[in-house]
Amino acid sequence: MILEILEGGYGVTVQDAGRRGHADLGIPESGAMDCFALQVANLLAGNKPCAAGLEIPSAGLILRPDADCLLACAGPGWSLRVNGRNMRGWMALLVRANDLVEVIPGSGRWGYLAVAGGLDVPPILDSRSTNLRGSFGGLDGRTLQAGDRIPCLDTRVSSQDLAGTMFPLDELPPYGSPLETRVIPGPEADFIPGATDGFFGQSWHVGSRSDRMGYALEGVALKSANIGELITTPIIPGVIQVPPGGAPLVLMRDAQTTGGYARVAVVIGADLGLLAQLRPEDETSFKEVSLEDARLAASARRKALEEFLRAASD
Amino acid sequence: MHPDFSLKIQPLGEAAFAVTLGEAISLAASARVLALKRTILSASLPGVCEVVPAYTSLLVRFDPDRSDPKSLYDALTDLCFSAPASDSAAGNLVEVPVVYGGMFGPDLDDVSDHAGMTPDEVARLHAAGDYTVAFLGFLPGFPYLVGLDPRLACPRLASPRQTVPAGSVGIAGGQTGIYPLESPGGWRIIGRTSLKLFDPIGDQPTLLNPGDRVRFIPVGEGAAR
Repeated sequence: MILEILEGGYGVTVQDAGRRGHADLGIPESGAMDCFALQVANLLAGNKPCAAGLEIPSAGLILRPDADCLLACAGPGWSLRVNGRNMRGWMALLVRANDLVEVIPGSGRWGYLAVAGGLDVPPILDSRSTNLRGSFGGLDGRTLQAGDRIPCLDTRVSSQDLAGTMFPLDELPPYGSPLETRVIPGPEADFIPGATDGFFGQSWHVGSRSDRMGYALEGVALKSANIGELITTPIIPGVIQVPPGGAPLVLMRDAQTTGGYARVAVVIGADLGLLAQLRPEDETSFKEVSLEDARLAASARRKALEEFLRAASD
Repeated sequence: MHPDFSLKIQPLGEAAFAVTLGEAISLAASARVLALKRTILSASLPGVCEVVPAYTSLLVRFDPDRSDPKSLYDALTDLCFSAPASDSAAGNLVEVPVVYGGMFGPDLDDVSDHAGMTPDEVARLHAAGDYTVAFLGFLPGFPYLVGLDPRLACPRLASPRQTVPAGSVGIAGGQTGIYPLESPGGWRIIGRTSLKLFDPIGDQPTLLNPGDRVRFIPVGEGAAR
């Protein structure tokens, strides 16, 4: 089966759970900015949670499948319109060959479209995720454009039984602004005098310079202690760096693998997708939690998916 | 244990530890980092899924559901003290042909002025160095090399370029490296190589790996095209 892109595509990429295990070659992790939403979309479409889907920014997308298929859209407030008829997000939907499918943006910054079988682009370095900077992965290493035809892996008829299944909305994580993002203090948390008060004591705005590599935070800049540049160290998505200007930067999925700025805190795994869903001008504060709190939060999020899967397959 | 060995193991989020072995960039520090990387990987600690080296530190990623942070912390501490000071496995020696200066090395004159040498002397000195890849970072396949003659150290550009071509050989502070991809960048560019440093679909995605040795071979302009 083929998905044909009719309109839009700006900023749209193929993403899965990401490209782990190659950071020692300088290769970023990539993967869905909001992995939870991609996973829900995949489960609804009858896929493994980590199958490749489309990640769509606020511009939306219009496409047409050339065969009957089960699909699902997920993302805070995101929904679909099929042949002009409004359909819910977070729901499995059976569409027919040549239906006109519009992905309608919601309050969150990223929406996900999963199709039964998953997108059939070649895995490169263990992932189908797009790496735009390196021009590889996804569809020819680039964002989509009108006219693109994306092959899907074979659909299994049984997955059509899922049509109409909804993910329970009261099981969704607390999307929206203002957010309280939970963090673990970073290795250089005490390098910046007053960082603790200044960082935790205010609400930050997501800046306009925010993309898949990192989100700039705007607020009262942290006083820099002229620590200058540090020796380059490994970094991962979720790390909050403070460059000399004192404006924190949250590293996102396409962040480079090493960096030379103070790492003041690290967003816990369960909250990185929530932060990613904030738009420019949206607000977040930060709250320190323990390693155990972080592990429990991630595990609760995973259990919600497992329970949904169990209920859906009954 | 070495005199400049100052071990720190700190959480980097709930699923990684940042292990810092010292505060000074050197060939010996890199050797220790790479030896520790191998030691950690061969120990097969439960839940440990990735070890990423840098100049004087490593990142150890783990699955928090398979690995208790406290026990892992203790195990890593033990390995840090028992690991050898250098890796017994020798890296490859890779020769990298470079056209120095001209349109391929727009900052060679600035680096020369800063060093108080002629551009030819800078190129000769850079090519005479015996370099080791400490780690890859910044871009896929970008080698951070140790071994730059301290006389060639030069600060980064005040404002980075929008576009640095793939293959550009640069200097930033006391570091030297090669851009595998076209990218924005602030390193002082002194030359360019025609070698391909990153090929995501190749058997070996990167030309260079941590621990490899690099020798720059000056060549004429025709070789860079």
